[in-house]
Amino acid sequence: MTTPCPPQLALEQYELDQAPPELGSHIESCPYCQQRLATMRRQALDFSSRPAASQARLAFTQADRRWRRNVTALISVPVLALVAAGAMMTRREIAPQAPAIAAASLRPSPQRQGREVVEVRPSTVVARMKSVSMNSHFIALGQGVLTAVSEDGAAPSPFVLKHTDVQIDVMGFVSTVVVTQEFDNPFEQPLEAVYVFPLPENAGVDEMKMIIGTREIRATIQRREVARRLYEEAKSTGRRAALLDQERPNIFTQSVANIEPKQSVKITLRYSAPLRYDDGAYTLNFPMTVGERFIPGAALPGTSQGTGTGPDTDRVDDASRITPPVERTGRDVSITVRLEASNPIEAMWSGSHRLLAERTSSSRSIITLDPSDRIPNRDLVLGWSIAGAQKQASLVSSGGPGAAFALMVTPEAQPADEQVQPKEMVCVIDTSGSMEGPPLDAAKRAMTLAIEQMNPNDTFMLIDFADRASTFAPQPLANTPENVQRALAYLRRLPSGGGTNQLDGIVAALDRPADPKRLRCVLLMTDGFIGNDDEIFDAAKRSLGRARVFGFGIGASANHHLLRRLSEEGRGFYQYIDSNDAPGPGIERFVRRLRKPLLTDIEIDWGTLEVSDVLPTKVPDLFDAEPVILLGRSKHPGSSVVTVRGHIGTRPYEQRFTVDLPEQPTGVPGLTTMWARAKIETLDRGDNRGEQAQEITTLGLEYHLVTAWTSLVAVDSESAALALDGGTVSIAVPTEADPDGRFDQARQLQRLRYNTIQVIRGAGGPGAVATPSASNDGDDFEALFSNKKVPAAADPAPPPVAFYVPPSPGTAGELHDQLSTADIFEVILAHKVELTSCAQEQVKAEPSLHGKLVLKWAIRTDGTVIDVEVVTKEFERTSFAQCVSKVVRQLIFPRHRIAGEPIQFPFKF
Amino acid sequence: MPFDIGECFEKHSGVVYRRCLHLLGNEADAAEAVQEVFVAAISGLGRFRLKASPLTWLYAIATRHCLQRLRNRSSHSLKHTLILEADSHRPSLESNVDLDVALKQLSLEEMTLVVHAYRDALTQDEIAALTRQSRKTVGKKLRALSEKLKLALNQDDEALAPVALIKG
Repeated sequence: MTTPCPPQLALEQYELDQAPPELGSHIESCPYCQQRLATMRRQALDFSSRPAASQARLAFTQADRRWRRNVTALISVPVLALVAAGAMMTRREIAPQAPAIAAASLRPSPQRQGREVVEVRPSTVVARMKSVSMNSHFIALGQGVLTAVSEDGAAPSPFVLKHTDVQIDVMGFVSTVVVTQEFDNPFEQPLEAVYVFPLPENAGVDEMKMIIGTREIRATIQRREVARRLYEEAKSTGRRAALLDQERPNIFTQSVANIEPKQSVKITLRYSAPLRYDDGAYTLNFPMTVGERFIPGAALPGTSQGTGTGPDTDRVDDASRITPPVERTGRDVSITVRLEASNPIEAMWSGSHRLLAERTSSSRSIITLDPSDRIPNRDLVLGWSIAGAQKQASLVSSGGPGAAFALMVTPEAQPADEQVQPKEMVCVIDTSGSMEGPPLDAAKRAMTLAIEQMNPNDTFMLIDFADRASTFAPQPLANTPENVQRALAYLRRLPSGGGTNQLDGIVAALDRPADPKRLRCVLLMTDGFIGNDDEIFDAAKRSLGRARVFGFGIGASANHHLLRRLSEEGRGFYQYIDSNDAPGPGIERFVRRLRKPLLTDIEIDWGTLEVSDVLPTKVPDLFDAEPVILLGRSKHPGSSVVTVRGHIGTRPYEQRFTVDLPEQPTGVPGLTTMWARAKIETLDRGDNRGEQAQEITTLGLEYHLVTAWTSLVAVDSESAALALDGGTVSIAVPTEADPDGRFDQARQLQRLRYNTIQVIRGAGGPGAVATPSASNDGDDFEALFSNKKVPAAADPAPPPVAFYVPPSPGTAGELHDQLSTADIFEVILAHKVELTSCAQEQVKAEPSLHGKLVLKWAIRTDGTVIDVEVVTKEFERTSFAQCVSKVVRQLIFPRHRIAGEPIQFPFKF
Repeated sequence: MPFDIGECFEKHSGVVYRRCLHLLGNEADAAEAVQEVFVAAISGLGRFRLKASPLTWLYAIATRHCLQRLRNRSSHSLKHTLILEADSHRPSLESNVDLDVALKQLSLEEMTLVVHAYRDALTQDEIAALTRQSRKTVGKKLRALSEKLKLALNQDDEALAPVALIKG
């Protein structure tokens, strides 16, 4: 006799793994129950995509907080009474602290007028905090104190980075961030601080200032090697200098030389980055932690070195996303976000910190960190949604000729199911040994959900691969309940084990004749460690056709690089779930997006606008509640009708809207920078290394951007040279524990030449530590920085800790005999921004005045400028001449042996 | 070990939403109700029950909450939720009106019982577990309820016999 189908409540228990086993066997074999389960999951998905879900979460948390407060108060009253009674009876003085604390907890919390507290969304916070013992201190992961210990056993001094201040301005979907870091020297000698820190991947860093006392020195952009040379020269001659190098698109190294004893130096950086808009909400992310595994590569500024001998070397370029945080900025950080949304702000939340928000108007808010939550042990994540429907298309422009603009296209309301183009779903699942346990379970769950949520006209196939690929059925199957049942049963039974032969899986998925009626969607679920990224990528690219690829990375060691590249090339999206996170929401989100490809094969007709360099070059498909942002340049201002064409399902789609590129500068910050940064990123992915290096350098110099080939350098030419005694400072740098707790021992003391503090933060443990000769085929780090000098091998450094040895003074760089015109031009070009701002001020003051200003100056052999003189006397008294002269006086040219004749240089304005 | 409120929400919000959707029959209302259910679930001593048996507690709270909402709506929707699976039961026009009136007069507790017995088709044991009463009490209340409904409708309609009475 068959058992009857259980009531709803029993199915709910089954979903939560609380059902009795006999019930489980019924449900698994009963098609009707399976159907009910699929409906239930779809309903849960629908709910989690609603704004009401986040509201509910917030309300729930707030109610919880209220409850705790009330309970604390309730408990405090009798405790207080007892304490008081005890005191009365014994007639002894109560310790003053005790009642004070109790009373404090009874006092109502102070009212913050016009303020609200933005609570942390509990679901997104990952419990990663662990405590480790280091140098006999017990510290929590991510809250470590960087102390510098001198060799003679004196008391440890706090590390040189004292405070970090972050000012973030958000306008629409562009954020401009100014980071000020205060470095301090606790030692008796002058020293250098080298500090590695993360920034968002798409951040364009275009300004650095060094502030000493009241003096402010603005950094100039130089070729990386020139910047390094200037910095080393300044360092060796005892002048203060600061240098900012990019190690990876999201990892930067800041070096500050010759910080005088007991003195502090402030370094200010500015960058712009687009915000993430997804699922109806904007997200701002300010990274405060560098991923542990990345560090071996990032901690060696200016040297070409591998990132380890261990097998995971070729995927570190994304490690900051996959490793737990280590402390970023010493002990203290303050953050202010000035938010100016395009519509009234509906809701705000944080995924990381408790925040205080002061609303100045419905669409503006000033957000600061709650004083109780200021330790920079995790990235700041601030999200908000705005009221009213998102415009279908909005354009912002920097205005004027040659303006940069950003166009954000959001598709129209979600189409009904019948309009969605039928899909051929190819599910590729990695069942190799490394996926065993929770990762494979998560992959199976995601796959099950994806198969259950298919539309009626879809077809599907299932490919699993470990040592080799095998399929459930050789041809795609129709979406019938029987086929789905069989496929799911096959999926449930898949064992794990064997190697990861991803190539087979991908080739099997793509290398089949295309179904003209259906859009092929390849779902690739893997933790994917493989060494032959490029081979796979090339194979996939060849047989891709119109197919879309969706990567779903699982676990902390997922190969983000490959999956993201494949997904981008396949115009899909990439998502990953960390092994620390609960997999549920990530899986749901993935499937929800997958269900609704809103707009495919997008093309944009710009009408009469003359636009160029629109990025990305291949417009990706639009998915559920997700816009596409295009960055480009326009030759002339003006307005035109822009047409977006594409397909919604099989139906062609066209949308027209009028855009207006204003003639006057609009004051929208950072657009040009963002465009240049996107351009650089595109070039960086190209195939021709030599050419792209050249182009990126030119772009970097022109737009004052830090890139892999250009760095910002500031030298304080007026500072008195400091006496250098060439002494050694040895420091122990406590680092954080590995996520798996593999190497939680204190770092060795390191001997470094010169007065250099080298901060190697969270360097990898045994097996993950860099050696300069390590081969790392799959990593582009080597290729990126192969033009860098290999560190002097003179220092018999105790392996395996990686560290940076600065070159000896005087040997840095080869001296030219004479300066070439190209050298001079390059330096002047590097200051284009300052010179342009001089011209703009002049135009403001006297709009009618135009002409050619000729300046004359001489260059010393050390590269500094003397005898600046205005040749065109008619402009001598203008502010332009004075401004340009000032800029020229501060120029630093390459060092050379023979001083040349004074040069004359024309500036048109 | 403090109770992780966020995790609880992630795990059970789907259950609550489905329950509310089932009873309210409207996605927007159900989504809205989830928030109220969760807040209600941790008020007072409910918090301890939430910690001990989240599924049954949230299920019970959601049921009660939705019925409360329904009571404020038209009696038609109340009837629809309490007893009828889409068009399964078509009494005569006259008794239809009576049924509306009868249901409107039930207390919240009685309504909860009606939902569990008729709509959810739970057995007495299951109802007892969910409402934390003894099986005997549940049986007694159900019989009284059944009588009350029959009396109000002035008919002896077997179609109105709840599953719990048959299975109980």
